[in-house]
Amino acid sequence: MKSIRKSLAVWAVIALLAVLASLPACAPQPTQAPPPTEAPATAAPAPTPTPAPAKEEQITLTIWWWGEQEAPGAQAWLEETIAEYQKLHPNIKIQHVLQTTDGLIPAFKAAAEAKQGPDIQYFWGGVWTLEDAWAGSLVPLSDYWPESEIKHLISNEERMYDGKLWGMAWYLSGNSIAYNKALLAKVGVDTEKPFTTWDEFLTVCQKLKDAGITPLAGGVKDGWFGGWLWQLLEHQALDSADELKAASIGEYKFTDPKFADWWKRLQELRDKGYWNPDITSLDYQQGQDLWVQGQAAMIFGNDTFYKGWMDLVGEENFGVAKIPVWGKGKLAGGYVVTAQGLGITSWSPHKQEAADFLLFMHTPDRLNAWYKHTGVFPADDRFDPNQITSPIMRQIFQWIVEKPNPNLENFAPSMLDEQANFVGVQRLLAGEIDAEQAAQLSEEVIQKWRSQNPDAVEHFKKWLGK
Amino acid sequence: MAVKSQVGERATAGESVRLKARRWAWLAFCELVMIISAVVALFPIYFMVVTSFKTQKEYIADRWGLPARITFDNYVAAFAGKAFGQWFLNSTILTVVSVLLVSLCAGLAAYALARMDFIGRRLLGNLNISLMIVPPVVMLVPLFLLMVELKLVNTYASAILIYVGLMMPFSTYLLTNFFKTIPQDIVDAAYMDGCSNLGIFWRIMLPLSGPAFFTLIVVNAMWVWNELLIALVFLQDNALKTLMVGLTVFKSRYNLNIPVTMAGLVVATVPIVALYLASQKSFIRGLTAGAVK
Amino acid sequence: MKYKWYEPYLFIAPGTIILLLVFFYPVVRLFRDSLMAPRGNEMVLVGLSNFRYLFSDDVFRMAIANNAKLLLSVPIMVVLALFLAILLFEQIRGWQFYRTTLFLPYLLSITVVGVIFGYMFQYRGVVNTLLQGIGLGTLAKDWLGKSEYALWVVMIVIIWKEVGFGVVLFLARLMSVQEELFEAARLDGANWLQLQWYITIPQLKSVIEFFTVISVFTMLSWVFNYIYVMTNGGPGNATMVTELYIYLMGFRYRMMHIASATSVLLVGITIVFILLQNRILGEEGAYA
Repeated sequence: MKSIRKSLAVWAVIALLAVLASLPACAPQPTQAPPPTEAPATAAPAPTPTPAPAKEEQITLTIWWWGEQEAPGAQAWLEETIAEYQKLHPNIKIQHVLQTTDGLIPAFKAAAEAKQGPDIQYFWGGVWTLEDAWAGSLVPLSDYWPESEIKHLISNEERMYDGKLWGMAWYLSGNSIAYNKALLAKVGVDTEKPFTTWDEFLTVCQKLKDAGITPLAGGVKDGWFGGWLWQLLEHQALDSADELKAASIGEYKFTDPKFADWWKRLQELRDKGYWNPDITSLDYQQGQDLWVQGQAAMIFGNDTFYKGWMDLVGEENFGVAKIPVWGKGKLAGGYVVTAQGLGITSWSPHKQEAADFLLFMHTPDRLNAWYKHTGVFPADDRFDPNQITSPIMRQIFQWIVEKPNPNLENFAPSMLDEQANFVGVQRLLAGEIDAEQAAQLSEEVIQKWRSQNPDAVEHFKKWLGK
Repeated sequence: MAVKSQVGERATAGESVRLKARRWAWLAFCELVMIISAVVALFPIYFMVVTSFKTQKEYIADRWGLPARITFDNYVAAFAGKAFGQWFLNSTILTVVSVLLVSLCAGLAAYALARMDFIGRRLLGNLNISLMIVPPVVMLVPLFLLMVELKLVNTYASAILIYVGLMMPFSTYLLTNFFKTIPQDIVDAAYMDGCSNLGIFWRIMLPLSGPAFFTLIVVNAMWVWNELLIALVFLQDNALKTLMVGLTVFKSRYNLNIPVTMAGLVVATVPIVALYLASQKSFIRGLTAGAVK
Repeated sequence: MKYKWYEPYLFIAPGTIILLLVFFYPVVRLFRDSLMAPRGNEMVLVGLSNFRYLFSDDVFRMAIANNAKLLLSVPIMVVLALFLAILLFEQIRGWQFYRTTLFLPYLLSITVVGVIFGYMFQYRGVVNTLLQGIGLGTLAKDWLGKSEYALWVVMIVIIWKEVGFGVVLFLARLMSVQEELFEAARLDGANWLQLQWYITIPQLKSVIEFFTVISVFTMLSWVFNYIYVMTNGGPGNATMVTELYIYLMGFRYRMMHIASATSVLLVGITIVFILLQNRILGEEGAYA
């Protein structure tokens, strides 16, 4: 008994010390945002009535962001950029908080409700930015940046709404097919230009399969890859992303050929046995691993990974090709690319300063430093392509500049993407449904969405320009 | 206090051989079941530890085998240049304070619920149980609003308060359950010795429910230590990040370096396991001391 | 039992205050939000329309059905935990070691557990390799990739992790049982089975009840992490559960009102369950 009390006493002392230690953390810290000594108006939705900041006033900006996870080196670059900016503006202090993948959105949602949180927030493109704009959490970048700067950003289409630009494009993330040159060479395929059309692609797959090599690697167990397959194969059937917006509000049906035919392509790949047999049992990551290990010839990849992959498989063995074309829409043959970005929050008391820092991120020196740190393209046409050493990456950058295509996943409600595409692809590849039923599922899901989100439907209409 | 085996030991001389054989078979069976259970229980830990010493390449090639060479690179990658010490400190503070607070509050409440009668007792009891069903994920946004109102965002206090609140129902329920099983005569004896209710709580209830109490502490500590979402949303300052948040930041949907993650998780798991192993001694002692009265 | 009338309230005060602080506002808001929906950038009272949507949504029905299926694991866990605890109570050589190892799964983070078991149950994973090795190759399936099996596999993982808690709990309670009871029964000539049935289990009754309730609640409201890490609700929504549904609706699809309605439904079902339990168990409910 005495020992229990003794150990409890020890715990109590530890607790007391811990409480004492935690007290300084409750005190206002200059880097905390928002500082607790700020006016109690933080809880009110009205903007804080601070006048235009005097030159010498100490200002703190907070950035909540994501991206180190897909573009390693981003954090180093950001810290470098912040340091340089702070040198130029000694009265401004910038704090950045890297979010976890799963926490990015919940954290922001909580902040948005309370109208308290970061000055700058990270957003993927399209609906991922605009939904928060519609909810009133963002202010348009175009209110703070001159047109001369805006026109240099790549992929602004994703953030345009109601004539304004609602976020800043930061870096690019595009999709192409990556292939293992050695394996393709084994079956006598031209390793510089293996295919352009869908039929040529199927021929290559068949050759590989006949030689006992798995043509395509993939993993759909966690769902995400399903979304990729959809947007990469479907966009070619459309003339523009507007058609997708139109379908979401009901002007087209997802069972129309324009939207249903891609499922047939997927079914083709399944029926001919071109996927790794355990595609439904692997996560996206594990599908990747399969290809990296050389156990499959090709993979639908993302160019933010390519630097790392080239290290793993060897640059001489690494090839890229644009997505094979089957569709007849105007978008066919382009290079799907999206820009990940940043936005200024509506409750930030320092919007102009935030916009200014964002502008600093796009100075040529910073753009080139970004590429050096991460090997990922910045979303700015002032980026100096001579920096690109790898011929493959140079080819990709050329594709981007020639004909950038929208990433459809950014132009449809996320519920459609997840409940129709993830689910449909999983069921189809597991052999449980066929193309027709998958298209039917998509139509059902979008109808459910429409029934519960009349406001979003209105926004989509406006987004479409009606 | 030794606990004897429960197979009957009475036997005549003739039967003793057969009984001994049966007893031996029984014990062997127990042993076998235990060994299988232990293997089943331990292999993921084996996986976690072994993987943490492999390179990414080695890992992709062979998921389960032992690495050719033990490499500490993953540990370095997981922690070098990161505020590991800070994260560790934050997690420790949160865990220690929350668990102590909830143990105290739940313990006191459980005592009343278990041994006293008062208006609202059943109501409180049922309310307590019902609250366990509320999924924390829905409480996120309203709680954040509340913390903003209380000006506690980005302080330890906000997370501690929430953790204590979330652990209360379960802890109260468990302790009430155990307090009820303590025989009344022991309590009566204490009364006769002039003990106050608080004294009984401190001197009788706690020690006698030693095993349960320490299990509760370990379970709660584990929960707070591993908790992710609340720590993320309410402690947005880099200086306040917890260990789990710091470690899982690098888990992306498309890119996961498993060996490095495992290295991080090994380090994150060690304190809890250590706590458990350490507390075992205490509750054995408490058991032997307390029950014999 | 001597105490002044106000003493109980003093005892429950600190805990109750914190409970109210943390739960009151969110729960009230939850109920309020479940009756509202966004119309034109505002939240408007819409009566029971959210609930009507829920009942018409096949994904939600799938979620509820899956939670119900997971409840089947509760009796399995209880029996398994009992069995192991009783065996441990025999105090065979090294029982402390076994007790420690059985509890370790419970201490692991679900991320680790999910990742590892996710690998094991892959089509080309260890489980299938093992089955093929012992000649049961026909049983090798795509465990987490096919709708028929996925949920059961997740269930196995949940059991694996949670059973240790039951074992420790039961064992703790067993060790507090007075030795005299066992002695008396043995002197009366009881065999092992009778001993368990007439002494052990009745003595553990309240802990068994406790563990059952906790496990039921876990299956309803605390399996999110398992599903999220192992299957993300797939394949094809086959492992969708209520918590995941709430999370998706609230944080991904921006339909917080539906998420609130779902939570209210969950809480409502549970309250009914608790009231029923009190009725069935009569005065011997948890707080008698």
